[in-house]
Amino acid sequence: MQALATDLTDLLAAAVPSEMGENDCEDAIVRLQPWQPRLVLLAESDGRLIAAMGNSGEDVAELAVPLAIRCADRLQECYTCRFAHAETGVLGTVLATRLPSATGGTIVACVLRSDAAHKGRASAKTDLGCLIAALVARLATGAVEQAALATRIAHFQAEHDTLRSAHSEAIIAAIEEREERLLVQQEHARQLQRDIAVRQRAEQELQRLHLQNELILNSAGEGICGLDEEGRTIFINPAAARMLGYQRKDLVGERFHEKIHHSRSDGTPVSSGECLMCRALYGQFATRVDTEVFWRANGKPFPVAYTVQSIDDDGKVVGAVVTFRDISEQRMLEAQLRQAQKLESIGQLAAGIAHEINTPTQYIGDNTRFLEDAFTDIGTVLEHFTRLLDAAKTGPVDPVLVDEVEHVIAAADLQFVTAEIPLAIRQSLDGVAQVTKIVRSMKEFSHPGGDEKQPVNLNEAIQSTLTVSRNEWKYVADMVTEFDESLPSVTCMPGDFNQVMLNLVVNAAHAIGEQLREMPGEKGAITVRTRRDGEYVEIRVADTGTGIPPAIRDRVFDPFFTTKEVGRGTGQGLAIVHSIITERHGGTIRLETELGRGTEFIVRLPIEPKELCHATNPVCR
Amino acid sequence: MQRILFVDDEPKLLSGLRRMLHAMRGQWHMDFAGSGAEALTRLLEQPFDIVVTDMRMPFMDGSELLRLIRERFPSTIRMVLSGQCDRHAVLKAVGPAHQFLTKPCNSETLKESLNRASQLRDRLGAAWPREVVSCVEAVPSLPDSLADLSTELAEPDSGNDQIGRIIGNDPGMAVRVLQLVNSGFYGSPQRTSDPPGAASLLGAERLRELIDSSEAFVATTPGQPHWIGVADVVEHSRAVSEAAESIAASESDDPHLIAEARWGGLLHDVGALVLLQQVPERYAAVLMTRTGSQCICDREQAEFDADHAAMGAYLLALWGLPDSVVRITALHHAPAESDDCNFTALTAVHAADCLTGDPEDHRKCTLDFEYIERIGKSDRIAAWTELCRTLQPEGILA
Repeated sequence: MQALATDLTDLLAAAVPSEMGENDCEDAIVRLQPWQPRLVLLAESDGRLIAAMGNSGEDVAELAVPLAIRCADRLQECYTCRFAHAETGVLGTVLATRLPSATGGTIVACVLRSDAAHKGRASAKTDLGCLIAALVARLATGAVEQAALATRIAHFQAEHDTLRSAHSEAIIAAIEEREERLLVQQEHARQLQRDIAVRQRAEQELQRLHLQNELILNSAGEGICGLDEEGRTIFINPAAARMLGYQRKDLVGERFHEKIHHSRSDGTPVSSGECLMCRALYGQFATRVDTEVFWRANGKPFPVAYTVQSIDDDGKVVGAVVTFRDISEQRMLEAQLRQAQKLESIGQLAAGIAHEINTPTQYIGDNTRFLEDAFTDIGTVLEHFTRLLDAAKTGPVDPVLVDEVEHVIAAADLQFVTAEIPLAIRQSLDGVAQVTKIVRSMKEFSHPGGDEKQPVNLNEAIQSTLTVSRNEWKYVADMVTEFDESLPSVTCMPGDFNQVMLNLVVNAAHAIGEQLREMPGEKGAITVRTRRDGEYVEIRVADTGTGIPPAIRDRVFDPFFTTKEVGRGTGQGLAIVHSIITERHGGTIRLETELGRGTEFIVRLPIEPKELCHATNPVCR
Repeated sequence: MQRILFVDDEPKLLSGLRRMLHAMRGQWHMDFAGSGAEALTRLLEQPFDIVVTDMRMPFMDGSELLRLIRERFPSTIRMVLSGQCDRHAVLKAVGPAHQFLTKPCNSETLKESLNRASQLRDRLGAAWPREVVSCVEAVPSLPDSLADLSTELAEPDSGNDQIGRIIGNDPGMAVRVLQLVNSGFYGSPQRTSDPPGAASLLGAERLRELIDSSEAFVATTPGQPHWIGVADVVEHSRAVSEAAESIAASESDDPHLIAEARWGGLLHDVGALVLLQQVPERYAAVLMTRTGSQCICDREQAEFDADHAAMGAYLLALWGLPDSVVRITALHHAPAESDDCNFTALTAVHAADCLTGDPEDHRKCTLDFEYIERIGKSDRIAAWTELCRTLQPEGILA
């Protein structure tokens, strides 16, 4: 090995001038061209040595070839890697390149260079550049062939010279003939060289495109997965593997559905018949889903949004592409936003509810105070009556006593007291009932049901919402309710539903408030209707407010869109209504409106929740 | 008999009040209206001394009603009885309402507030001064004080001390914060005559809203006819406040008495501020008149049927401030009318008022030696005079 290093040093010293810069590359090529290919090892891509040119032989090949192969396996054009020789401890660099061979295969070329030998030399890049240039030039005619050719040319040249010196015309002629043949051969070789160059360029382009595609797929943030017609994974990008917590090789060849889409978040199995990814394999199909979960390698599910698209090859489905992303964070933010809006509306309601409760509390207190006073007065009257009775029992009554009684009765205003006591009691009880109703409605409204769907009596839920929000609308509108008493229970999220009703009612009250600015002294009306319509229930909330101008009708459900002055609304109300109805319940919401006359929102909810495929989604068929 | 009108859109609430207050029928004539419009009709039929209204009602809310009453029936005492808790509603009431009661309000508090209000007429018999005081939306402040308060409140961590110092130096702002705290604008009423304490009870957040509402505090600006007068009175009030505190501290260890003297001193001339704001030209003329040894109060009495002391006291009582400070303001020129038999905060304020500032100032009243004699402090007059002299900035003496 030491010998080899020395050898290499000499060779490099001969080949590469010590101050050579990048621009001197061509010089170096020239210098290398006069057949100093002894640096070069050529091998098939499976490691078989084709030629080890210019060096002492076997030991070089033994060391260099496996290294070269290993390097070249991973490289596209050229590759540099470090090596350490196990026995001698010599450190160095392997420069390697993979090139197409004349026969259409691949040849690996490499050069070994010890650190000691290289010290102070030109850069590795330059070295390799030179080397490649040399190789390309040589390999164009087929490396082995050309080596032989070169030998032969040298041979002919020598022969030619000899013959010339002998002035042998015949021989000269023969030689010239041979030279001509040689020229033809050379022309042939050049043609071959040009063909190879064209082909090489095409291959390089192909390789570049391949690399580019792979780079794009590998860098994509979304998980991308290709399935064959059996639903087996044939390609999966690193983002997908990372999200799923698998190595790519663990998924390739596996059935995607069975591996990561086998169950719902509650653990109930999803059959392949229900799986939209599987359905995409049976026929032209494309959809987007964001209500399901995928399962990670660690056995934990996570919410995903995925699209699936059949791959169509001349009318025949040959597989599908699944693109997905982890929407845990998005789900969390959505939940936080919903919670924030709910808190905001409860905060807004709190002041109103306090007012609703404070009023009955005031008159209950006043009435009770009156009853207390009245009881004292009546007690005094009774006391005098008792005295009167006692006196009457013992004989004729002293008129003074009668006067006293009359005086006490007048002082107590007994007529007023006896007329008012039953009313005071009645109204106090009404007040208590009113407070109870408000408190109960508040409890129902702020239902902690969370994200679980359950059967809900919508009429009752709406009534609770109207009660807690009474202070928001009662000053501007009368409330009319037309409930379908036979309305079936609807399976939905009660907290969410209450939020929807609150937002719609408050919205209606604000619209009427706006309208009333033009005509003070008036009151509008809010009408809430429920009815069953087949597998749906329909809830209509109509107001006699301003109506919505045509220009903004399409935007009312957009997040942060608001026409109210700052501080009055966040612009989230209707956006949240829309999201709750369509995304969380698979329902629909639309509106009918007339300027100056009012607006009606029409909500439709399925009585039983159905599979959530977005009806509003354009790719959903 | 005092005539009181209650307005609320909830009939049951009115019935409750009618029953609960039935016992008061001997002293008050009470009437009940179900809406703002009905209330105005009643008022047109026959005036009422006191109106108590709910805030939130359909068609016309309480603040609108009170504004209309202020315009058309200016001497009416305007009170709110509201269950409304949101700050917006309270801010709307700050301008037009004299006092604010919060539902549920217990019968004692309600009766006491109405009682105090119905006795107000005794303080100020003549109609015109009552109307003038009743229409005051805010007592004028100095623009510098208001700017300082704005700046301090704009700081993210506004310090209570700093805010208290600013408010405790300006009678206009002081009387406003005391009104809001003593009356139940923000929850249950707190009896206090300590403006910095009241400001800290309100808190920076509410003070910010009050400043933004631009109704709670008003500044006199240079160029307005009463500008110089207001600046003088504020300057004088600050000096008297400081002097009264020193005099009180020299006579007593009671921190309560010392504080009472200080804040009484600050507010004692609030009536002069009202006159300057409401009738600047007429009051300027009164101030300019030199008629021998006649006291300013007599000249005011001759011109307005009431002096600034009585008008100031009426305002403080109307706005629900504690009796102690009302009494000091009412009697600071006539302490002999009090039943004092020893040194009180009133003594301190009276002495400070007379001993501070230019002794030749014809607007001043003279020290009531008989009164001082009565409470046995004649020997202290020299010491108080010296105290006041040392406290005064050189500029004023010259």
